Amino acid sequence: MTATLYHVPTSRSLRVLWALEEMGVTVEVRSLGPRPHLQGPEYLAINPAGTLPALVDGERTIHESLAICAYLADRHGSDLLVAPGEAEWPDFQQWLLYGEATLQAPMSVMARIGRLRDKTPEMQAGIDAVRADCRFSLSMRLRLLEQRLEGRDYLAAGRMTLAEISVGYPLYNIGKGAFASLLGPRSVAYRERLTARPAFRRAIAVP
Amino acid sequence: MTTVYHAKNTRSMRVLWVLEELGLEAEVKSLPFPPSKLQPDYLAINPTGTVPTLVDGSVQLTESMAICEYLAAKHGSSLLVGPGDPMRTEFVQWLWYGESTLMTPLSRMATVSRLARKGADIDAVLEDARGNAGVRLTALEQRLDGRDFLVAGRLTLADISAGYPLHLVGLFGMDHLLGPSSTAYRERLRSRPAYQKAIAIP
Repeated sequence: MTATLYHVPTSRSLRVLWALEEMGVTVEVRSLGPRPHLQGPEYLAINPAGTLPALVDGERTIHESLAICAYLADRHGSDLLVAPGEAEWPDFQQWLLYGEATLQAPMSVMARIGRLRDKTPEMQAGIDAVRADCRFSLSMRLRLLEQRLEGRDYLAAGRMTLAEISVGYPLYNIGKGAFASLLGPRSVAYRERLTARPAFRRAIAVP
Repeated sequence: MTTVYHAKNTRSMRVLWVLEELGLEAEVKSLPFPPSKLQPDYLAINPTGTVPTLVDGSVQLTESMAICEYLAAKHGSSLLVGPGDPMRTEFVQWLWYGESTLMTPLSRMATVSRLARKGADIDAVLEDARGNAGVRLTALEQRLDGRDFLVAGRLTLADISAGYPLHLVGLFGMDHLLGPSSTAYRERLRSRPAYQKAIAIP
């Protein structure tokens, strides 16, 4: 029985597709289209929080992109995971969380305010103020990534891990948007390396 | 020597709480918030300006949940559900639920509330985030049906992860979004001596 991944292009489900491609594992991808209705009874029955992605694997349903990635990597014995006994395990955890809590948080604010409807001119002024605040936060937060990449090709354990997949998602979006100029040279090169990987190219092409 | 950089009502409360649960001593350095503006010398320690930061010998970490996992692993604590445990996947999922699913709309509220600006525009962003948080909290309410803790029938880091956004729900005056099981759960967490000691640290 093949597992089913609920996917929306541009959402965090990209991380799961990318991890699957890195491992050479396939699942059934159920694409919900570009403007999915996540708060209807059908999707809430799969994930009551109404967030993406979700993976249904037999009796088990898993939410949270990085929990799904960890589950799949563990199941397939992939070295995308760093085990607690490995020397750089604390760093692995640090960068896994950095991708979501530190980098994705301001990006999520941006994504959400961009989707607000019925914008009046006054509302646009508020949105601009929020955007300026996010820009400042990101400029500070990206400094740590730039520092970390000095003399390193990968964030932890000297190899491609889920930390790259965590950070790669917001980093890909930062690099193609209005905040691209905030990236330092090492971060730009790192982003290029990640997004040039065949597995990433295949994942990003999934409709 | 273990040092934790802390600011009141930030994610560093998770770290202080874990230290208390484990009965560990650490030097706590309290910072004004936001330190990037009010104590810029902190940027030499953590250039992002976010709190917490843990410095433990050569280990330096800035993500609250990574710090909690590091401390729990170092001291062999049952707050962790390790690889190989049948509950591992649920544990990891609920760990992320507290940080990603719940914190995403709450961070948005915190960001927008900090801006000096007020008005209909800001209210629209806050209302949207509140709506999001409401849906996401119903998932917690369902999970807590018949459970005292999120996974493994005991206090784990998944509860410590969720405990921080639940604290913010109270600070933001959104307690009406919590169902009865979630309200009782938060009370259960708050009544722990370790939580009370941690939250009292200025």
